[in-house]
Amino acid sequence: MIFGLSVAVVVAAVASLAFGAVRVPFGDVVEALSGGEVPDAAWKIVVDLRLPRSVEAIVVGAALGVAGALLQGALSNPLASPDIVGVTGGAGFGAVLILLVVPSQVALLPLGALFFGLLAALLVFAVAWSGAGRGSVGKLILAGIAIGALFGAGTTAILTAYPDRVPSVLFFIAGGLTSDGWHDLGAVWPYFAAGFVCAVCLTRPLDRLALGDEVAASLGTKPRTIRLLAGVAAALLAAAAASLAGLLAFLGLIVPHFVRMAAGTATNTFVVPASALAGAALLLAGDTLARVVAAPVELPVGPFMVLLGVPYFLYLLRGAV
Amino acid sequence: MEAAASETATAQPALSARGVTVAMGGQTIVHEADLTLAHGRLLAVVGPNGAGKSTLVRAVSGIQRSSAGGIFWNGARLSSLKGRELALMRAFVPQRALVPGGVTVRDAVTIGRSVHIRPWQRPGSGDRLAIETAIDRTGVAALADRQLTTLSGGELQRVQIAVALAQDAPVLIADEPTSQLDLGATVAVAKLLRGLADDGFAVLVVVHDLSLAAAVADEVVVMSDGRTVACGTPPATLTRDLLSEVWGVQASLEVTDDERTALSVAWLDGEDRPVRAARDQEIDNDRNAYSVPGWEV
Amino acid sequence: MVRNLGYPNQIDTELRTSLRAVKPAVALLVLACVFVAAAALGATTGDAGAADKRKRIVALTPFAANTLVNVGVRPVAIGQMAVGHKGVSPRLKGVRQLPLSHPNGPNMEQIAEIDPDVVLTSQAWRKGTATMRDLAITVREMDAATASAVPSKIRAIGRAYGKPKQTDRLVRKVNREIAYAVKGKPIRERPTVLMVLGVGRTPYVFLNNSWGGSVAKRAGAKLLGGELRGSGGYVKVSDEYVVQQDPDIILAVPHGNAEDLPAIREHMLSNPAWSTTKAVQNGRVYVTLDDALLQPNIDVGHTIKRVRTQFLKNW
Repeated sequence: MIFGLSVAVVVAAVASLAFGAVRVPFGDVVEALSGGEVPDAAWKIVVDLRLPRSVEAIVVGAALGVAGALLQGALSNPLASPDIVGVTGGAGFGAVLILLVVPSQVALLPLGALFFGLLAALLVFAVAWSGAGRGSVGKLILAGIAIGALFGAGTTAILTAYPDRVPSVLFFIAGGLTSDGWHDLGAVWPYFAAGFVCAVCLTRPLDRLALGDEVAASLGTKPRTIRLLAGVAAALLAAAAASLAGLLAFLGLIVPHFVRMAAGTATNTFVVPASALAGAALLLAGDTLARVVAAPVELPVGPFMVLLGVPYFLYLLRGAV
Repeated sequence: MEAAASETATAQPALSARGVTVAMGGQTIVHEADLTLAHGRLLAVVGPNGAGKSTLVRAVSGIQRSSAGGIFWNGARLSSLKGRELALMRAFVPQRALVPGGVTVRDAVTIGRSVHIRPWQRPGSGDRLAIETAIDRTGVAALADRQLTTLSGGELQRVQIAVALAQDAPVLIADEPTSQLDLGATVAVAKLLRGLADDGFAVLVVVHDLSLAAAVADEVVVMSDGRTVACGTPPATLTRDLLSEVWGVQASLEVTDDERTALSVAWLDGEDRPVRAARDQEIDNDRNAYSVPGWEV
Repeated sequence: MVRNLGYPNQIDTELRTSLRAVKPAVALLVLACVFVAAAALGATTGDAGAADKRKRIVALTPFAANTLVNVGVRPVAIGQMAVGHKGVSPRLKGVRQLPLSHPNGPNMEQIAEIDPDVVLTSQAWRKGTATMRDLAITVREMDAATASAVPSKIRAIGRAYGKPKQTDRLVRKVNREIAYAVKGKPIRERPTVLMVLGVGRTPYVFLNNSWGGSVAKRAGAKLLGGELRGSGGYVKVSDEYVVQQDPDIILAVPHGNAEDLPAIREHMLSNPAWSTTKAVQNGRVYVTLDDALLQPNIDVGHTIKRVRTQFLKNW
């Protein structure tokens, strides 16, 4: 399964590099990537535009898949997604704030979305980890919904105040990758790195948590600490993903279920890496389609991932135990 | 498990707890309770509902925070032990474990083994052996590839013990392992626990069923209202007077020569029987006993 | 042992339950669709007003407001223009301004209070149309979508509500201004222009059928991607396509304030997809906040000339 998914990622990555709005002969693509002599435009398109975008698709897809897997594992809740820790609402607010209210700071868009995504998550954790029953799953989910609504209201307020500027944020809200070279990825990669490292370290504790808090405690793991860390790692990954690709959080909801049902196993040592691969493959494929289908017009990637993933997902869901 | 057996010889008790007090939500659940557990012994904690049995056992296991008292594992103070160190000393079988979907019996037991597997590494041959040994020992080998969600209560309980055995700690603590099992499954679990104690494990069990406790335990600790009120071998401890005082029931423990135990209970208190009068005459006798066959050790 | 079942089971149970409820639910949905369709039909097959004279008119767009005041009709209220907007005739000073907001446009209570006979609206505020018609108000979409539609739309408004002589005079004036802008100095060649709307890395290009696109086209531009299709007159094109088409000029119409322009321009220049284009190489990237490129208006001739002198430099 892991092998199959790895192959899928490679195939999707090759497709992502080979196809685009402009036809570049496959030989030129290979030549450009290996540093050979190609026409300037082909070099520009393949190396400066497609390559960073493919890498972004892999990183963002993997991050959202892992974020969903971590949250679903830590909260033992099948409906957990990065929405639940407030990240989506916060990042959306940050993006709308920068694009509409202070457009001169548009260069700060990724960091603004990241900042507000993490701020929202911080508020959620601060509320959920205080008072009686701190750290309980129900408290976390309710805090996430409330704070997500708060930021959502802020977003709506800004959209209403600047109706003439709304088109600038539609793409961010719908979610999609942009060809921005290495710049944005260069700015937010440490957050991805921290999130992925946390995720790898958390897979085994999350497996213990799956057998209940007491089994986890028997094995020397502190359940509340693990939940908090998983939430923080998921928030880092989801906020960083939103800063690059807008609001695609549903990927984080669907992908872990996808791999669980396809493989018939739910151990996190499998689900977390498999979700990373499946998320990367799905976003790569969806983004390639979004670029190619109506070329040279670019469509938002969300609907294409839905188109690719949902039929198979529903098929699996029908047969699920 | 061989390692566990070799530790039988050490003089120090595996666990010693003195004056343990646990408060939750402003209420004191356990008052200055004492407990000593030696290797190769099976200690049963008994008492009425709400006496604080589970809370005491969870506190000495380090799963529940205690507000006062001294808990020592192999002479080391509990609070000074790191999670992993404690995990190598004792395994805890909860009364209610989660049963996640998509996890097989072998997956679950592998999770139990995870304390011994280094980060970034897959289970080694020693780990795989320990996992299979735990599965065999608990008699769930035939179920090894089944999903947890497809198992019966009795099967699940044995899997829970297998998870704890894979942890390879010399002390096994189980919170009411038989409370929801039928007679056959109860016997299977009881045999398993007794066998482990005979192999050198220190076993601490919370039990409701006094005849079961009497049959398997080397010693019983009786709890009442959060206090440990008596301690000793079952026949010497579970006297008529104690049963009457702690449970408020007229009953006596009977142990036969072939190691069968039975609790003889005056279920309906002799003369005053309004419940019976209202029902059909189904219960013919005031004294209604059941017995459990002796344990093949 | 309590069996806390894993979630696949949970989902399955829920699915089964919901499948049982599926038939009545589908029936309900179908019914709902029928109702919506009927309502939509009712909304679109409204009145198509005949020639109305001497009416109390509300003009929501600057195009309609300016046309009315130039054909001898003073509207009772006009849509409020953005702060500092210069696109409305000084003769409309003192006319009540109605704030507009998505999705309805004007506040319906204010409209009811004014109680006009006619509201001249645009496609953007179509959602409010049905409500205003419920208030027994005649609502007409009379906005020039492109530069070439300006004279005919002026004539339509003038015929319906204005004085014939003044209408003819206004149409002649507008035609003269357009002709001067286009023919005063003939357009010899058409540079490829990437004309983008908004800020961020996902700017939308103006299509030929958008207002701004049609103005730039009349000014002599060949719009990059202008012939593509997209609703609303704007579409997001691939950066690869921009590299391939290699525009001579980039004309950006972001939103923001004048003091934001340098920062926005800098961000646009840093776009890796644009860096090798002739426009960036030759320093021909222009950023403007000119509302006249976004908002249809009767002074379209002046706008065309401004695009030629300031951006295309072909005047």
